[in-house]
Amino acid sequence: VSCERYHELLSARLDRELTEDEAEELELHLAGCPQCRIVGEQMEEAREVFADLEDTPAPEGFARGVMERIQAEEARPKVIPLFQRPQFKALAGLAACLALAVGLYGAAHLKHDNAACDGVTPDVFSQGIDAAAPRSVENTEDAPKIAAYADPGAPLFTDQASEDLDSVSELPSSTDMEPVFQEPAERLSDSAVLVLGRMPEGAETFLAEGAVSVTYNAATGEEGYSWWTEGASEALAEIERLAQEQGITAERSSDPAEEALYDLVILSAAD
Amino acid sequence: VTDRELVEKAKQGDQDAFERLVLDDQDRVYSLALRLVGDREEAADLAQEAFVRAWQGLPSFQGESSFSTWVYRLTTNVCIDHLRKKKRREAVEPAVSLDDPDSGWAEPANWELDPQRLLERSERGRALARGLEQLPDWQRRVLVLRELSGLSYQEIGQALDLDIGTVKSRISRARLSLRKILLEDGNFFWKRPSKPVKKQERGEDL
Repeated sequence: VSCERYHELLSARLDRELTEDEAEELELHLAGCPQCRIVGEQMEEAREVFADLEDTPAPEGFARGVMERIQAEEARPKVIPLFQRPQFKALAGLAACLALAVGLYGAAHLKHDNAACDGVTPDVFSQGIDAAAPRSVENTEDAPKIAAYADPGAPLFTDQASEDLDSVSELPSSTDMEPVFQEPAERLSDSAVLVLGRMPEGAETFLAEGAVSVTYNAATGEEGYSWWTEGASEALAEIERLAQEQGITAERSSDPAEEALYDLVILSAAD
Repeated sequence: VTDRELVEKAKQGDQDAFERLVLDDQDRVYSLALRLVGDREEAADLAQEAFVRAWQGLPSFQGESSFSTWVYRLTTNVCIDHLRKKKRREAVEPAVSLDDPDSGWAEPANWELDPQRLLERSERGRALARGLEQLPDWQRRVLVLRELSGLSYQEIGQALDLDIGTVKSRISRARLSLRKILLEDGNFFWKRPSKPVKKQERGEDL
């Protein structure tokens, strides 16, 4: 008789992850299987020693390195570079009129046949995020697992979306709207993007209003979405703070070419 | 000076106070990162990153938990983010998957022993550390998230994109592997079965 199943139950018991039925089944088995009893005892014993687990000393100069990084961060300007191009402002006005809403979705669940916007290549949704997509851009290392779509009828940041970006299963379809399509978007050299590993919890509070535009990178021809709002600099700062609190990667990127690598770009506007 | 006092000073911008906090926790934080990512250089980078985020997050740190607990949690998050990115990158350039159980044993962690490792605390804590090092990444990672980071099966599943059944079986397999390694190590297990059993029943050939 294979005891493999009972080993798994023994392990789950240590973590208090057994159902009542499983616990009963395990007890029954243990009563007649001395080997499993020993395996269970030894698993338990090993678990207890985790309290005394020996640490590996941090490398030489570790703390000094931390302080140097902190000092380098502190030296960076706190002011968020802004988008000031007249055509961008005009675009923002237009976008605001359309009253677009923004949602965040884990790309693994996005379906191409369900793409949100007419005139937008569905592939844009999978760019750099869909593990199975063979055409993903090469440099996806820092691309956040965030995708944006525009849909006038969808609720802003449903609870589910904010709680678990990865588990949202359906991308609402929307055929009755025109995406705002910007001609080759040139980013000013002093503009910036906040690049997030994932959306921090609570970020939706700061993204209550805004507009989405489709942009593409002139150099690479790749498309992406931009989220835009007046006075976004505070929102950006708040989201960055949330991300820091939650230990999520949040970096300001000022390389105009990078924008195209991300699925959702939050742009801040002049205050 | 207590941690709490150091935190207060650091909150007011005292970098020396913060450095003291770093020095107090660096081994624990670095070790956690090392056990999660399995690479010394990456681990040092991520552990430093966790401290930088702690510094940046200090204004919002309310002290509900101790500073070290908080940094430990930040470290777990930083490492999880890193692992997720890495997984996505590797999905783009199909290589050996991070989470492929069959590839695990082919590349066992084979770290040289640190000289400082000789200044150990307890023989068993050391044996356990050695045992963990020998686990394949896909086993060590789930076990460390469970035992050291204290995540539930569900949280581990979310962090690593695994379903709960997989988390459960990987943790179980990690414990069995660890047990086997520790049995071979010789002096780890103190408890003897309550009644004498034959050698084969002691499970040594499992």
